[in-house]
Amino acid sequence: MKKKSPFPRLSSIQTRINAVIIAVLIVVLGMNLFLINEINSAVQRIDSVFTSNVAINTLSDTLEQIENSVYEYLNTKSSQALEDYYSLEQEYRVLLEDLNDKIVDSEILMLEKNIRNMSESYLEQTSVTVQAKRGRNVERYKESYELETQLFEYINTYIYRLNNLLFRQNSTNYQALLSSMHVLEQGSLVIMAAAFVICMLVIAVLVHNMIRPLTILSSTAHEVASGNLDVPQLPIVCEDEIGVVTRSFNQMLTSIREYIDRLRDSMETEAQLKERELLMEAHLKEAQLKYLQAQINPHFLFNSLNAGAQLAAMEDAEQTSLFLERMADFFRYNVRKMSGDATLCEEIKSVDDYIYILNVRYAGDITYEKEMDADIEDIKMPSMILQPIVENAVQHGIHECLEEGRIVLTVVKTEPDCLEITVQDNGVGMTQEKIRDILEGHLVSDEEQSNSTGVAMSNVIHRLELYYNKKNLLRIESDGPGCGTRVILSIPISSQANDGTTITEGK
Amino acid sequence: MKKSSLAITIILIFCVLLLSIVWSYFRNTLDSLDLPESSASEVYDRHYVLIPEAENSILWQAIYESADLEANTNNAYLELLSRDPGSSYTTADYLRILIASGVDGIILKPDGTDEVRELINEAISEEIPVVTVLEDDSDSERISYVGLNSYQLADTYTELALACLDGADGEIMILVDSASVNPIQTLAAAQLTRYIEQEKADGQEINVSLYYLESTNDFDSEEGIRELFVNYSPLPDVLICMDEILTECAYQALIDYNAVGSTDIIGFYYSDQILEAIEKGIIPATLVVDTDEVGTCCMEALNEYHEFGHTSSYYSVSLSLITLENVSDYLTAEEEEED
Repeated sequence: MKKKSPFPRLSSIQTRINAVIIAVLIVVLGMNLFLINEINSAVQRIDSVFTSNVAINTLSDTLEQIENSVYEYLNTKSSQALEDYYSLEQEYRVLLEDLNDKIVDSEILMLEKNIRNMSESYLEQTSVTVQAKRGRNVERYKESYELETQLFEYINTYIYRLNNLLFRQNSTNYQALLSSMHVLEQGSLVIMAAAFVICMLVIAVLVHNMIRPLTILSSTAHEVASGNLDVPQLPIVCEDEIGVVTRSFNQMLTSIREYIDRLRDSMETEAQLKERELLMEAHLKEAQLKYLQAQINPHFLFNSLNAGAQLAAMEDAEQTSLFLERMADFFRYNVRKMSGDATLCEEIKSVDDYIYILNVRYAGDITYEKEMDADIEDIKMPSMILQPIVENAVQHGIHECLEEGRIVLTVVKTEPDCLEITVQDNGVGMTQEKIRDILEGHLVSDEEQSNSTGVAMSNVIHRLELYYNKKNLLRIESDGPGCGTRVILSIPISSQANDGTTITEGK
Repeated sequence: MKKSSLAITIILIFCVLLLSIVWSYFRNTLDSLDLPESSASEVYDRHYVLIPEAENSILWQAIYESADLEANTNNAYLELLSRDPGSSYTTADYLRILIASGVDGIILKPDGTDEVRELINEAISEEIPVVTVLEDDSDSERISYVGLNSYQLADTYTELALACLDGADGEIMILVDSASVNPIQTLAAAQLTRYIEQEKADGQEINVSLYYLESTNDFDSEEGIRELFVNYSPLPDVLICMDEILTECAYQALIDYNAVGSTDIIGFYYSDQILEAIEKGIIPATLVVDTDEVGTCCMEALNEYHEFGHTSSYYSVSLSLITLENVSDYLTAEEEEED
C-alpha cells in the first residue's frame, strides 16, 4: 500500500512553481544573509584590531598637549594655557581610566599599568609645577618642570613601546583575520556554487516531475490519434490541471472503447443475421433446384396432372382422378411452398399426399398412421420438412419390406410452447454411427438423390436450425438394425422465429 | 529513494558540512585573536621588577627564571625590565621610571654611582623596597643584598690564578670595568692582590695589575679588550675576567690574536661559548654563582620585607667552578634545555 505523504499535494501548477521559486529564493537569501553576517562580523573585528593603537595614540597626543600647555603656561603664564592644561589634564585622566591598573601576567597590560601610574605621577608633578609657577616660586617650578619633563619622556618611551607591542600583536591578529577572510571567501564561493547546483537540481527535478505527466499524455494522445486505442490508463500523479486533463483523457478513451465495442457487437449481430438469411436462402435455393431438376416444369406438370384428373373424372375413373388430383396437390404444394413458411397442417397434408402416391405406386403396402393433438394445424413451420423425413423413412426404413411397412406420424404438444413431431417406421433401423453421420450431415448417397423428391436430411436439419436459430431440434433414435427408426422433431410453438424476426415469404 | 533525490540530499549534506567547517574555522579564528581586552590574565598582589645588567645574558635569564618561579608561589608578578637596545637609558633612568610607576619592589645590580644610590634611597622613601644582587651598594638604604662576598670571590680567583701559574713567575691581570665603579669588583681586585702576595710560593715573582676598561658606552668593553691585546705586550699570563661579557670578549680576542696557550683566562659565569672554550681547554675555569639561590633569595627578601617590614640585609649565595672535569654536565644541561 502506498504510504500517504504527510504533506498535502500542491494542487495547482502555478502554486507548485511558486513554491519552487520561493524555496530557491529562501535558500539563496539565507545563504546571503549568513555570508553578510559573517563578513560584517569579520569587518567589525578588523576595525577593532587597531583600535587599541588608536587609543594609545590619542593618549600620547593628549600627553604631549599637556606638556605643551604646561610649557606654554610656564613661558607666558597665559590663562588660556592654564585653562588648556586643566582641560587636558581632565581629558587625560579620563583616558587613563581605560588603562589596566591590575597586576597581571601580560606584558602589554603591565605596560599599561606602568604608564597609568607614571602618568599619575606626571600629573602630580605638573600640578606641582603649575602651583609653583602660580606662586612665583621660580626655583621650585624649574626643578619640578625638569622632573616632569623627564617623566614625560619616560611615559612617551613606554607609550612607544606599548604601541609597538600592540601593533605587533594587532598585526598578527590582522594577518589571522585576513587569512580567515580568505578562507571565508573560498568557502563562500564553494557554498554558493553548491547552492547553485542544488537549486538547479531542485528546479530540474520539480519541472521534470511537473512536465512528465504532460509528456506522457502528449505521446499517448499521439498514439491514440494514430489509431492505437489499446493504450493503458494514464496514472494521475497530481491533482493539478494536468491531472484533470489526464483524467478526462482516460474517460474519453474509455468512452471511445465502449462505443467501438458496442458498434462491433451490433455489426456482428447484423452480420450473423445476414449470414443466416443468406444460408436459408441458399438452402431453399438448393431445395428448389432439386425440385427443378426433378421437374422441368412443375406448373406444366401439375396442370397436366389436373387435366388428367378431370379427364379421369369425365371417364368415371375415380381412382385415377383422385390419384392425379393428389399428385397435382403434392407438386403444387412443393412448388408453392418452396420459398416460404408453411403450416403444420399443410406439411401433414403434403405427407398424406406423398403416402397416398406411394401407396398407389406400391399398391397400398405402406401402413400410415397419424396421431395428432387438437389445435395444432395453424402452427407455423418451415416448408418441406416433414415430407423429406417421411420420404427417408420410406426410402431407407421400410423400402425393403413395404408390405409390412408402417409409418406413424405423431404430433404431440409436450409442453405449452413445444411441439414434438415423431415419424416412426418399423423398418431396418440404423446403427448409432449412422445416426451420428446423418445428424452431422456426413452421409449423402447418390441413391437418395436419384430416387427421392430431392430434399436431403442435412438440408432439413440446416433449415430447421436456421429457422428456429436453435440446434438439436431433430434427433434420430433407433434400437439398432431391424428395430425401426424414430425421427423426432422438437419445434417451438410460435408463429415467429425465436430471434424475433418474422420469416416471411419471399425471404 | 529516487536518484535525483539522493543526489540532492548528498549535495545538501555536503554543503551543510562545508558550511559548518567554514563557519567553525572562521569563528575559531576570530575567538583566538589575542586582543588585550579579551586576554584573561591572572591577577597578582604585588609587582616586582628585575633590572638586569644584560637582558639576554644567560646569568640574568637564569636569575629571572628562578626568581619568577619563587614570585609566582607568593602571588607576585616579577617583571624582567626590558632595556631597549637603542635607548640611552641608564639604570638610574629605569629606577626613576619604576619609582614613578609605583612598583612593589625592585631588584637590581647597582653600578656604584651616587645617582643610583640616591634613587635607591628615593625608592625606599617611596616605600619601594630595593634588593641589590650580585653587586652591593652598602651605602644605600637597600633592604638586602643577595650575592657573593668579595672575600670568597678573591679567594677563589687567587687559588685559580696561582694554579694557572703553577709556581712559575708571571703576570696576573684583573680586568675591571671602570664605569661600574663596582665595589665588589674593586674590593675583590684589591683582596686578590693581597691574597696572591700571601699565597705565592717563596721566590715566585708575580705581578698583579688592574686593567680598567673604559665602558661609558655600549661595546666599549669589547673595544677595550681588543686594545689590550693590541697594545699590551707581552700579554699577561693570567687574565681574570669579572663578568661573563668580559670573559667572552677576552676569549674571542685570545683566539683572534692567536694568544691561545700564552694567556689563561679565568672567567665569570658561563655561556655556550665559554663552555665550549672550557671543553677545549682554552679557559681553565670559570666561576659560577648559583642563580637559583640568587633568584629565590631576592624574592625571599622582598616578600619578607612586605610581610614583616624588615629582612636580612645579606643573603650569601654559593659559588662553584666549571672546569674541564665538570663542563660536560653543563653542556648536557644546556643541550637538554635547548631541546
